[in-house]
Amino acid sequence: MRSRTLAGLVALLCTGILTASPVQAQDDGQAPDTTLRELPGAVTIGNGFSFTGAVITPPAGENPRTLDAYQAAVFVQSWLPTSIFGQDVQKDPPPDLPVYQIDIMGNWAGPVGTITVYFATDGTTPYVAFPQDQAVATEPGGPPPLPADWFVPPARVIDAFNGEAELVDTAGTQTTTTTTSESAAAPSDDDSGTSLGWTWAAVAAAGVVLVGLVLRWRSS
Amino acid sequence: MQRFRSRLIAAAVAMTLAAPLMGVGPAAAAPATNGCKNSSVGGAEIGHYPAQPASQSGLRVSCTFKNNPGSNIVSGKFRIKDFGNAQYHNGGARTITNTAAIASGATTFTAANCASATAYVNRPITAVGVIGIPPRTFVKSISGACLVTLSNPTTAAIVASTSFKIDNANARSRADVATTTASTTITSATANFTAADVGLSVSGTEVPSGTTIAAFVNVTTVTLSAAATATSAAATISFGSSLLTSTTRQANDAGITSATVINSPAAKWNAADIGLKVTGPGIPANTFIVSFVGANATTTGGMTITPAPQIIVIGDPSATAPNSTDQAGLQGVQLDLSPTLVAGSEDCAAENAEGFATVARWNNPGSFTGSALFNTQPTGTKAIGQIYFDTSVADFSAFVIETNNPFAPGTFTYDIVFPNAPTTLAMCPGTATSPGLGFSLGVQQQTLSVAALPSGTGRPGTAQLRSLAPSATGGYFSTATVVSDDPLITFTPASEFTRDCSYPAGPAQVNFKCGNG
Repeated sequence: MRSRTLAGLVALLCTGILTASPVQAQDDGQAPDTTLRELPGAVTIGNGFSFTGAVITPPAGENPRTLDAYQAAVFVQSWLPTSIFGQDVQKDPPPDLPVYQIDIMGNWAGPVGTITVYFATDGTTPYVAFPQDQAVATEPGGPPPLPADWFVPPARVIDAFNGEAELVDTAGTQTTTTTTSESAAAPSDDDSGTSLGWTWAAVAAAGVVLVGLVLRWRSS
Repeated sequence: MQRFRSRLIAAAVAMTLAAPLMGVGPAAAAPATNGCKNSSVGGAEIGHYPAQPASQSGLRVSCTFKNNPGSNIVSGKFRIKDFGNAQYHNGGARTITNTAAIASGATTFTAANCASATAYVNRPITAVGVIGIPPRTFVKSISGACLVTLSNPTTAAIVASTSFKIDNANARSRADVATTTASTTITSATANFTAADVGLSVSGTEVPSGTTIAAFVNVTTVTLSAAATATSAAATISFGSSLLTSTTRQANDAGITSATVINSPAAKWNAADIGLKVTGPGIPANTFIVSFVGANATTTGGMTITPAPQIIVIGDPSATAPNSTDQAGLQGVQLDLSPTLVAGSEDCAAENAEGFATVARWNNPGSFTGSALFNTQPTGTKAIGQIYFDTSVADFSAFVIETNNPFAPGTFTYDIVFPNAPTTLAMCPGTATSPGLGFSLGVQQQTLSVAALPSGTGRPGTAQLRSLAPSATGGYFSTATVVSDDPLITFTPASEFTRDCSYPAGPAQVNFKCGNG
């Protein structure tokens, strides 16, 4: 967790520098999407989606495990675009594969609550079921939707399911302001600086922070 | 810890590499341009065709949006504010069923349920797909015992429990109208004229455009506002084809405040709603609107108090409404997708957009579908239709939101609202030379099921998805815009997302006046 926080801070500094360049200082009224700030700790992937965590329930006998906000966001990002833009991806998993239920909490572009998806894999090919006929569950305890609308997302979903993948930079993460150091890994579109002087000041500041971080890490 | 170190190194390298590029790098390809005008973006447009008043007319919107840091206006939440004189399908229906078989040649039958519909007079009735109710048939009356009297005898036997749709307006057409050149008096043995017909539009080849019923004389005779232009013993004339009434709709702000009352400011209750069915949480089957005052509608009762906001559906789709799942348009999109998230996409560094086309389907209120992620009707609105984009798994939608026109009481304006189009989820991060987003939507003037309806089906003048309002002068000035609903994104400059359409008065011209421009 600590490493991700520090890495996020570094990335944020880099991003702030990049967006402060004169070429990109042509702001015309657009500002970062801050509509998601209502969920503290949430990590955003764009399009109004931000996540605070997920619970993975194995098929039987095993204890559920959780994904933190960042891992949940990465997991959703790893399959959701394919469910929209993927070509010829609809496919049911082999019936003998164990099916995991994933209850994902967050802001689903307005409604705040839980959406349930299902995951199965043979170790190589991942399968995700995203039941379309479900509303965002705003109160716990309701029956989850049954697995439906299976498709084959990119293989990186397996890493994301295991909490080992990274958020991919997109226009959605780029234009979204988040509220935690973790989520700050998403580049910010902040336009607070508009001069080259600010840019170099930021470079210097970032350098100082970097050196400090490295020294602190070595001494720990 | 090793992971942390590698990230630090990577970040430092990235900073080192990035610094020299900031502001001093060579310019790459020019960024996309914002807008929906072909003067700025080749082929872009906000337009409709045909543009002449009182015609069916399709809408075409094609715009580009920049995805460059500092000037990124790609938004998943936006709306097309359609031209002010655009009209979408108008009208709703009450569905009734017959308790027993109806013999061929009968002019009456008994309905299973006529609650709150006994005041229905002169309303078109249709049994879609069932032989036996001839075109232009209307309900002359419904008695308290649910005896339905028809304007025309049935032409074939009809089995029990057949569903009939009765329109929520007294507009109708007849094919036995006698007109006389230069005379304002017309007669019809079967029109069943009443005083309530005064003011209805009158249309047909024997009368001039803009004619209305000026006076009620008797059940077979009315006086027109303008003299007929031809003599005919059996003209086909429509009465009230330009009438606008309430349309079957879904409102999402409703609360059930008592066993009989629904509160819904968004519903904009209308006298034409009386007798229509209403469905939703806490509302039992066969509940109908009885009356209304402001935002409160009184129903036939039996409801369970249910706090707002609830989704309710008012009315059934009329006989001339597009069928749910009808194709209603096409959408084309260009955007640069991340190959990490969408297999097969070109590398982001190439800055080449991928292209997609998606069929747009129409869903009537009561048949809206799709997951909550991309298919949630905007809060506090009434939607008369869902435009549903069928993708591989996670579909998305726009909604046709009807708003009462404050500047012209009795008329409506329409927005096509995308509550959350998946524009940025997988789009490559913006750079100074990113290609941006291209979006094109065409909305049909008619759908296949409507086009296949026999002539004379249902309420006259409503067999279309989109049309343009009549104009007394033949001309109009109307504006359409595309605006962002994300409060933090503005489509700018606004002039590039606005189309003013000035159509000249006088006889209709054959041109593309309000098309690509």
